[in-house]
Amino acid sequence: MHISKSIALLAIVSSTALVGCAGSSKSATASDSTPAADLYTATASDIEALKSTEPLTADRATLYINGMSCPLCVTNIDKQLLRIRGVSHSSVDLSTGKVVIDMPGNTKPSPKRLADAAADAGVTLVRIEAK
Amino acid sequence: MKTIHASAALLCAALVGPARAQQTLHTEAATMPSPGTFVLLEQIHWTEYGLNPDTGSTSTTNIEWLHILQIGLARDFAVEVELPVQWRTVEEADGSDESDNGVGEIDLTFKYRFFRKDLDELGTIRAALLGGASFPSGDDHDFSSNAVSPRFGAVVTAIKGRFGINQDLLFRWNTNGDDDFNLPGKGPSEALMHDTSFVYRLAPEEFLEATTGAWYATFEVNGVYESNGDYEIVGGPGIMYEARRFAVEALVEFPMYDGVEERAEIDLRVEVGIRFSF
Repeated sequence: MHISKSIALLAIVSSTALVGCAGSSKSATASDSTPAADLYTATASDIEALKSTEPLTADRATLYINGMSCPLCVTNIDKQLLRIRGVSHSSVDLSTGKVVIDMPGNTKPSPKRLADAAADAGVTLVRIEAK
Repeated sequence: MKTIHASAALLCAALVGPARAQQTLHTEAATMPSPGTFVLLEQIHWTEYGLNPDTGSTSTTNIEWLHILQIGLARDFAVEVELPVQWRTVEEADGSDESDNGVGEIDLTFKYRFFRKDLDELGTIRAALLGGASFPSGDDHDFSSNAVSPRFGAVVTAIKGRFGINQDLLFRWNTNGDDDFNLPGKGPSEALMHDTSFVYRLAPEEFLEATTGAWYATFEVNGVYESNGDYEIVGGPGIMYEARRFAVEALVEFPMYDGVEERAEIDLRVEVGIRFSF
């Protein structure tokens, strides 16, 4: 029983430490999870543009994604984007949350279709930069 | 039976080589496979139980090999089927022991994610409702009750930077639980289960463009309150490696609170798992 109590105490202390760390995660995130230069905050016009059903015209686009929290998310996003007609290749950069997609043919997806695919993958598309 | 134990141990050791992202072994997470995506999980749970005041047995070793399949049905809707194969050795008060193996109850769980707010590139807060039931497997070796036991609950997941936390709460209505060998939350009484898991990304410190996997330290606290008054909490540290298509994880749990009088208490629990996304 003494052992159980010691382990319980250790567990509570560990949990408290973790919660404490989580509480201070904002500063840790800002400084070491993503280079500051790559941080992007979506504007209202970015969000509005994602509702468009007009096909993109460029052969390549960079998608700014939020909520891509783990390596497994990358596979989810890849799968959903490559299911879209016209998207031939996607490359995910987990460090910046950016996904570059290639659309070399005549058939290209609309911003809304890309936003839906991102939502299907469990993440949020916040901006599209066509090149 | 010893051969079976040795085989299971060997399998455990083999599985330790390659885990599951942000979702830890015991605690649910408000994450799910995307539509048309499958996730196969193979887990081994090795539990050592102490004295059972109800039956008088001095110790019990229970090994569960769980086959779990998660299927993404829609954007925020997934289903999970769980089939447990079990091996059990009970040591009686007179020194004799009895071993048996069989198939436990088959669990079917639906998950509906009703809230998702992505905070930044990595950060997110999600919440999901869970509903389902345990079904009889047809096994007549006391590994499965002959009843359908519904359960429902909810889970919240938050991830910020290198930190993550999952918290679930589940109620299980045991319509005809097995009184012969009463596993935590699966006896004749109703059960309220609460699970918390903390996740911390050990490496890489920062995700890079070429990052293909990440190491996480985990800590789980799992509690079961039963309507007969039994209440037990176990917890402990774990480790998880998550790649783009698979994950492997291991967890060791110890008693944190023991208020069990109607069944055997947990002395030690060791779990390992591997998960594939396809």
